[in-house]
Amino acid sequence: MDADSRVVAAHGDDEGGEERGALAELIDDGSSRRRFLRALGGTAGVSALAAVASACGRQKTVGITQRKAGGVGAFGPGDGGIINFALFLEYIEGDFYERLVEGDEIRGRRTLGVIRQVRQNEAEHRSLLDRLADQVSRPIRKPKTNFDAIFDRGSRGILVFAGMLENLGAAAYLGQLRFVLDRGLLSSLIGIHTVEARQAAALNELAGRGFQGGGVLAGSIPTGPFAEPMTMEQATSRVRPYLIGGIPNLRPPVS
Amino acid sequence: MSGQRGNEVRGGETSKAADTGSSPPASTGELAVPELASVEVRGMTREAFLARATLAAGAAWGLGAVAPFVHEALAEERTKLEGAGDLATLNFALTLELVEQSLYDEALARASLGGRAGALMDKLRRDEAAHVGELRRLIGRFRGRAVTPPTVSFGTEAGGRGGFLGLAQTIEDTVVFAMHGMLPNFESKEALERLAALAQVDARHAALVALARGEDPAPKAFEDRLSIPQARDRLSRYVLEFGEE
Repeated sequence: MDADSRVVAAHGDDEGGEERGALAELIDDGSSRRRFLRALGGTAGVSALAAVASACGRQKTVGITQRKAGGVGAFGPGDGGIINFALFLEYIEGDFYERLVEGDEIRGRRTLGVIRQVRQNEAEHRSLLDRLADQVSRPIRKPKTNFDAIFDRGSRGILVFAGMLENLGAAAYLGQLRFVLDRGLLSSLIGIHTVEARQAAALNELAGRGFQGGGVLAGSIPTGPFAEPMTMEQATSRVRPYLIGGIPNLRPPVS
Repeated sequence: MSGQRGNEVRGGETSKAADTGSSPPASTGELAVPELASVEVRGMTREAFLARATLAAGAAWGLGAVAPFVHEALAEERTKLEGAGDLATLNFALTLELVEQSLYDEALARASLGGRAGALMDKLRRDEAAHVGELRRLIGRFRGRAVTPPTVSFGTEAGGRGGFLGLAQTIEDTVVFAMHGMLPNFESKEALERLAALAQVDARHAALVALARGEDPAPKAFEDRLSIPQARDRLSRYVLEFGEE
């Protein structure tokens, strides 16, 4: 099954999925479960809740991401899918900055200094996410990219694209936070998310875009006082033009 | 808690026994979801009665009959309880945003910031005012009382352009680090989403201030994290008295 087919499969209409999702989440999340039981005045037990969830047809033990709007099945289910999605974006960003630092399109010392730091940050993000993906599920393969069209635009066009890419990263991380089940992972993603936002603001400022440049992805503070999230589908559709061969498959299981 | 017997949970007052008058409405052979018939909820409270009725209806007529009710009840209870649990954290977030708002109000009144720096300060002031408004809305939604504004003094640091930008950098970074410490602990998804959306913008503020100072806007790959006591301690130099709930 190719990646696009998996996307369709992941969005297949599943009647009652929302109820199952809420219950599955309640079972999976100990703190929510305790609070629910407290809400019932201590009259219901975990077994009662488990029975309801079981009868509702819960099928998996972790993660509900792929049932939600914006979920892309190619990355895998649950927290592992979120990690793979983030890793996928970090691979793309990393390729872009590697190409940028190797070239001579950007010459300003100050701007180059920021770009080198951003490249270093992205490498550290990839390293962490790759380790996490390996622990939680099967990591996604590295996508193949081509940014020739961007590098034909000259230094300002390149910086504008860099600002767009970072805004996309920040919005994409923000869009996934509500679906993360593991609090440790949530903390890690939040810690990356605000760094992506810092990078986005700086690169947009260096590109001379102002606070708001029109739309979610343009400007140093593009959506005003509150950032707006992007779904997996929205984010992947924006980077797809720079992919060779689309979203890659997951790496094979280690035997 | 027995931990050994099927669906029995003594401490939670749920057991598999059938001696309390909450028997399922038919024999399990006729039930749509017989698993539910084996669950008993003890107690005489209204909640116990509702739980029994829900389980009985689910057993007899299937989950389709009760899933919407269960889902709605879960959502409502969770919003109230999780929001209540988050109130102290939301109020500290409000305090942080009030400190930022005070800083920009004072700076714009005292410092003569023109050009790009002046435009940045004006933008930051407007964003922080929106953050304060949103946090008060969230606290009200969760039936809490918003904390009163802290008493702050930035001394002479907020005077000149350089001093003020340095102060802004310290405060914005502190707020972002504190948000990183608070966000993973929110029970309410609504609070998590709104605060994360707000924290992202504060991180952007911090980067723009750093750029204006000639500093690195994103010096680390992973954001630092501060606990609430650590953040309070870090701000105590400027906050003479924290507000009360």
